[in-house]
Amino acid sequence: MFQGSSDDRNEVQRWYVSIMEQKNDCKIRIDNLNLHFATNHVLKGINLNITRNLITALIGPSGCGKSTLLKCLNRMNDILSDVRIEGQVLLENQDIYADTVDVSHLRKRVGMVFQRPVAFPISIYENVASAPRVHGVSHKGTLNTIVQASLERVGLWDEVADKLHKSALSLSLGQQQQLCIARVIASEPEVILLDEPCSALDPMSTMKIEELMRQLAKNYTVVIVTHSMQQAARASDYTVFMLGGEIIESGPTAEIFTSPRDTRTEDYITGRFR
Amino acid sequence: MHRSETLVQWSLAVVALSAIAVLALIIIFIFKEGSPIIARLGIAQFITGTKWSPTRGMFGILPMILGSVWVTLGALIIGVPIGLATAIFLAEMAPSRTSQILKSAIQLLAGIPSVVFGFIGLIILVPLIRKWLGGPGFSVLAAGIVLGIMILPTIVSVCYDVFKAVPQAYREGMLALGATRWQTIRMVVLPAARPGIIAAVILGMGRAVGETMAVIMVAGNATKIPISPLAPVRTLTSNIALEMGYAVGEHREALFATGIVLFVIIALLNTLARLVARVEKV
Ligand SMILES: Nc1ncnc2c1ncn2[C@@H]1O[C@H](COP(=O)(O)OP(=O)(O)OP(=O)(O)O)[C@@H](O)[C@H]1O
Ligand SMILES: [Mg+2]
Repeated sequence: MFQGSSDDRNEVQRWYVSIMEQKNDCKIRIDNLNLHFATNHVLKGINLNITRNLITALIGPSGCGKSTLLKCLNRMNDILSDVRIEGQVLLENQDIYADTVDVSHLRKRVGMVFQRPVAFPISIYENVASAPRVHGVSHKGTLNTIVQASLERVGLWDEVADKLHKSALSLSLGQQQQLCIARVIASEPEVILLDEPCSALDPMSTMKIEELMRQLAKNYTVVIVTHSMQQAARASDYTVFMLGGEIIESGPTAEIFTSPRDTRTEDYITGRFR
Repeated sequence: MHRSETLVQWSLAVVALSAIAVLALIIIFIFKEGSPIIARLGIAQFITGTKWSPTRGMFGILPMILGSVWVTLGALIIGVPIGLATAIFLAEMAPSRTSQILKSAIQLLAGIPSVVFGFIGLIILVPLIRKWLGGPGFSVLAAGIVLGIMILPTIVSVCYDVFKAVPQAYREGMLALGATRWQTIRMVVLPAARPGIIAAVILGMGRAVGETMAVIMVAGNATKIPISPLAPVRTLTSNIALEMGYAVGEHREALFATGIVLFVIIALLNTLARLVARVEKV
């Protein structure tokens, strides 16, 4: 039994609740993560909390390890040879690098969208359906529902409803990227990783995707890598600045962009070096 | 500089034109020698006639047409699944060193003279079929198996190149969805590679239709329409090769006419390959 005044007890209770809240808010926790490609030390002692239902932006100059860090979150680095990963990545407090983890299920929970839209050379319908199919859904009606819901979610349904069985390669690049996001959504993920999703797109499509990310953040945790400072400032809630494989600074986007603590961050966001 | 370039261009043009001219001459020659008898008998009579008996002046090549079709089908049924599976394994699964070694081993198959394939078929396959399945052993089945193995290098190497040409991004995209390696192959790599696979099959088919020596050695060469996979069979090419040595007069013409039919079939296959490639590209 807890001994002490009721005030004390309230204090402790409040403390406990805030800890729990913090814990609940933290979707992914990266703990002293190190990654080597052969002899190349690419990620150096990364510590980071990624908050639920927020958009976290990873920024930094080319080659600083943004994509590599992103791929650590769904274990896409596993398919490369000669990589060594130490440290922990906790998704909902479960180490995703534990031996017992089913990588396929992990990638269902943590979906990924690439820089170049990867529309498969099959029909639009099959592109989206491929995600649930991978995870064992084969009932036609269920697939139809999922495909339609996912395409509606990304705002593509009206444009493609009458040509679902046409090749996905007939879509514009922007539409292909929307399709890829729809495909990720179709596997009902918890986290969506986007690696420079707009760099191959024109400004209109870019705006569409940014709006879409806003929408998605209501239900998903979103992590985006971007080279565009405006995009990071506009579209993210939390910003992480990386340099040479290390996190230099991270914090709420408004703070990072208005009052960066580190001069290197300031130099980078003001474009003084790339 | 400029001068020598013009010279090179002209000589290349001459070489190319003479190659085409030789080809044209061959075709003209075959048609000149073979068409009179087709005209005399009537095209329908020639290709639907079921009796081939040169001594009695009967020239129906339906048994040989069907023979070529059955033997080629047999070769595809055996060669395509094995070749495709091998190519998938080499391109998608095997470590690169293993796949290099195996691939050169398979390419070595392509260098073995067809008479050797025929010989092995003759002394191993034919007796086996006779013993375990019945019939004379010389059969559609034996020819199909031998040809199936002979078209493997074509199927494997074309399919392998096609798989290697499938962008890595497709595989990564699929793996990122949580797909296993096999799901990735089945759902994305194979569909992306389909036009190439079809081209490989048609190339293999062309090879199977044209192969002669190995088929002669194991097929039995009877001029009857084969009624079972275990029955002996004669193909169009075998027909020409077997009788050319002593054929004279009408008989000789009929063999050239067989050549015309063969030529048309192969031209059709080629056109088909092109059409498929074009349709799939759109
Ligand atoms: N497959 C790989 N094998 C070996 N080294 C790699 C591999 N992928 C990345 N690297 C190295 O890791 C480092 C970080 O690369 P990464 O792609 O994560 O950078 P990035 O920040 O995403 O750059 P960019 O902004 O250009 O996309 C680079 O030095 C790169 O050379
Ligand atoms: Mg990158």
